[in-house]
Amino acid sequence: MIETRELTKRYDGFTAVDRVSLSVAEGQFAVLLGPSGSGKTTLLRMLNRMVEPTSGTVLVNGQDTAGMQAEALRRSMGYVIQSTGLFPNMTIRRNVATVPRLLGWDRRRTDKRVDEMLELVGLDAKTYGPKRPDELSGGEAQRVGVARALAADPPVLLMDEPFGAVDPITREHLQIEMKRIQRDLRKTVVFVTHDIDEAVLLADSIALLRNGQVQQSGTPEDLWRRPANDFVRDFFGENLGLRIMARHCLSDVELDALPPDDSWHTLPAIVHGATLKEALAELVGTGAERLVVTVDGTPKGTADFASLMRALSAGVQCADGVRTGRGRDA
Amino acid sequence: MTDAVRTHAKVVAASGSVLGITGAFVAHGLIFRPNRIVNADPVSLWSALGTWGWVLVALWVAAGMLALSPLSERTRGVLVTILGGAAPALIIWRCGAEAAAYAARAGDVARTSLGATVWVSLFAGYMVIFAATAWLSPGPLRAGLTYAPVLAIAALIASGSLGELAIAREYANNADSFAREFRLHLTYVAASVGIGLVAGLLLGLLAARGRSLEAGVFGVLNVLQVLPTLAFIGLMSPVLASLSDHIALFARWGVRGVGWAPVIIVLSAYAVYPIARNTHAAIVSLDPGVLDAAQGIGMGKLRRLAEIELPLAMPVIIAGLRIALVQTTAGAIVAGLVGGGGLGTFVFLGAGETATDLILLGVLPIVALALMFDRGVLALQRALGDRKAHA
Amino acid sequence: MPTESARGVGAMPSASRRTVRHWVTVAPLLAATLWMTFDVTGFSALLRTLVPDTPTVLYETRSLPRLMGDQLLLVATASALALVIGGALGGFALTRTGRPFRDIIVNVGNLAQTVPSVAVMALAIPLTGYGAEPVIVALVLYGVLPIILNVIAGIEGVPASAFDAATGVGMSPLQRLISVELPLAWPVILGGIKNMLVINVSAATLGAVVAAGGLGMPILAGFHRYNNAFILEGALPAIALALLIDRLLTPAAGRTRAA
Ligand SMILES: Nc1ncnc2c1ncn2[C@@H]1O[C@H](COP(=O)(O)OP(=O)(O)OP(=O)(O)O)[C@@H](O)[C@H]1O
Ligand SMILES: [Mg+2]
Repeated sequence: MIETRELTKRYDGFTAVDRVSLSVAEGQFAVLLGPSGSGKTTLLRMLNRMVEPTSGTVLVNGQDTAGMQAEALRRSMGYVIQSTGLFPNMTIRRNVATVPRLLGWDRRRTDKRVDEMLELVGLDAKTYGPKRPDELSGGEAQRVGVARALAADPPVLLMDEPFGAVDPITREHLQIEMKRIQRDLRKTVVFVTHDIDEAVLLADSIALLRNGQVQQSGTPEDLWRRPANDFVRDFFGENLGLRIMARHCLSDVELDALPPDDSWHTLPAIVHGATLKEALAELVGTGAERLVVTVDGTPKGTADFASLMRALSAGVQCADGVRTGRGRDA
Repeated sequence: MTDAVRTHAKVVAASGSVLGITGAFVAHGLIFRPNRIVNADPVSLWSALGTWGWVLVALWVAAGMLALSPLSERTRGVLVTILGGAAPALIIWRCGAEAAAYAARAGDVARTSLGATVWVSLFAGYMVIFAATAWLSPGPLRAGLTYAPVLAIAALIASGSLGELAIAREYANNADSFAREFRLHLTYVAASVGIGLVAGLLLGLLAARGRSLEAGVFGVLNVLQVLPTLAFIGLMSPVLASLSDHIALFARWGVRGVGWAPVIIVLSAYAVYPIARNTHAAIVSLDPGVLDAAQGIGMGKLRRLAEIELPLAMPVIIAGLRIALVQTTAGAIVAGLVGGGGLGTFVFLGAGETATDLILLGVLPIVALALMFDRGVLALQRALGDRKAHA
Repeated sequence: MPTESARGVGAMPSASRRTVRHWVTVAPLLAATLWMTFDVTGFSALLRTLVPDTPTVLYETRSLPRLMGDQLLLVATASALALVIGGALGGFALTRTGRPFRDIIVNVGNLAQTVPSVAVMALAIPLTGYGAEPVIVALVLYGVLPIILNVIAGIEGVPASAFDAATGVGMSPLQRLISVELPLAWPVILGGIKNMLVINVSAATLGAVVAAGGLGMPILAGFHRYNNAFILEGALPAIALALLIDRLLTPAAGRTRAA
């Protein structure tokens, strides 16, 4: 879908992005991660030619973007930034309608699409449509930013620290919804962040940058199990394992059958939508060896530490989409 | 509004009414002259207005006392605003009547001029109204009460009951040329501000494109802004004269070293600055995130300018336009000095003959126009939702 | 050594580099003003070149040094008066007694821009007669406005933190005014003074209309007698003077701001 070859950007002899070759498959959620100044934004902006590369190429569906008209290229990619960049002089409806208008859609189609998009990001079109951006909370504004980026149904979404400026709780909501939207709509997303938790939670693949160079790219599990160098290991720190466990759900675990006797009644119960991290916490917290996993209140089987670890290496994550619940079963 | 502002208003309103009372007794209210040339000693409004003098003083005293009274804010605001407007309106009305009476006694060549204390009383009324409206919330009531005295005076003028005042006599003597010069004055303002607006927008946008362009544009505009008006016109005059000597087209258009051409060039040059400066300041202070998003979403340069940058910069640009309009309306007076006509004609004619009323015939419309432009554009700013626009 | 001196310039504190740049623009303007005023032969030669077919290039009634003298006297007298009155009124508006009048003073200050200065001169004639007096009345009235507005804006613009710090270390209100508020407000007040002087140089040129002399005199005479040399004789020194004052009082590297 998107591929960069030896992509480089220099500013007066200073190299902001250095020979980056990456590829992002269709429908993949790719995260560009790295410390401040490592070149993430510059790299992202070269993808839609907001920044012209010094050398190297960007291919979209195998086509060199250098030959395309920049505006047309940008209209085919959604773009979301931290400060939301909502146009303060336009209503929310009109903001969301921007790209469809640019593409010359007719009124009816645009209106319908705007309603759908606001719905998609969880905002009521009637209430929010006529508002102005300065009447929204940070989280709402960010949702509108996502709706605007998705309005013309671009196959690709570029996002630069979109949730960097909202409070932690709202941020987590937005992250979970973003992941859901990306899966439902099968969008290819390139997402810049310097927040490790966010990266590990969202990414199908991570490219870790430093001084403009890719240190390592791969799935979070790859980066955890086989860090390419000390920088990668140190950057993620010792909590990476736990963070990775938060990516996986009990629904991915191959459960052991319930023992025929009633002994499992004394075991702590947990919903199958809980993450492995939550399951682990439960094991450690209760001192039990096994947990009973329930689906809709019905016990389905049991899991112990070893089965959790097996699920991790299988590398599937929350197959049915979203983390449906958390913590102990009621 | 803070409590302090509300108490401050009491002091200002009371001071205004004290000024009004004082004004009524100072001997410069009305000047009765047997004819246009002869000088005569002015008399105070108190002695000129007879019984109405009592009413006048009563109005001022009431305004001051009510302002300090413990009445509810709204009642106080309404009453004091009405009184603050009633006193000046009364003065103008009665002066017109006294002028008519004097003309009936002393014949057609007699002249009745308004003295300095009439203008001081108008200012006193302005002070009272300015202060008292602080107690009223914005809305039609406040606007109505504020502008009622203006309308009342306008109605007096229209009804002809001020027709025997010297300034009205000057108008009657010059009615034809007045209409012509008034239109010419407006034409100068419209043309110069129009040119200034277009050039100012373009230069402001140009200056916003980079530091060195900014330095270049404002380097030139600053110099133009500083040039003394008469010297600037003087500088253009030989240039334009020789242009029309050498280029037939210019001569055909009527470009000369004097007249409209140097006036419009100079006024436009002055008008560019506030518009360019505000355009530039507004554009460079736009939220970079918004511009980035507009670009990232695939808007072209022109579209960004038309749909995002200019609309967002508009309140500040309009504030610049307001300055340019007021400044040009006042500045166009010099046209009368260099053969360009306009309302300045009467001012300079009057200055030559020491004919104050003829001077006023030129000055009052200029001030009225400038105030109208100022209030008009301010209303426009507010209508466009610029809550920061200030009077 | 070239490298040494190059580094010397580079390391020069930017303040003094600015001073140099400042005087590089001011000195030629000063020289030009003086030259036009005093070098009769040189300046009339210039006028003759600019306006070739004119019999008389210099205005006979009054010499340039005297015209410039009129002009400077008008501007200096009026500006000094305006500075005192405007400073007092601006200061008054910031005291506890004057506080209520602050808004109306600012408002009147802004509305007064609608009255052309030359109209004030003309209207003052019945009170003052012709000559310098009506001009001084008008210039004082006009000069007072930028001073008042800038004194108020300057003092009000002093950051609350500086004000609090000064109060906190135990300064009396007067000490605070002198050692904290005025120095911090000074650039804004200086801007007002510059504005006033520039306005006054321009308005004083119009003083010729009410027989106050000054550089407007040959300009008006030139317009009446179709003599472009007379016009330039007044216009060029007036422009040089205005630019000189403006540049002299403009701190180098000023940024533009919205009105
Ligand atoms: N227009 C530019 N001119 C010069 N240098 C630039 C420019 N844009 C970026 N840089 C430099 O390139 C480097 C990478 O910048 P970039 O914005 O891509 O970093 P980033 O990884 O997004 O950082 P952050 O997490 O702080 O946003 C930085 O050192 C920055 O100073
Ligand atoms: Mg960045």
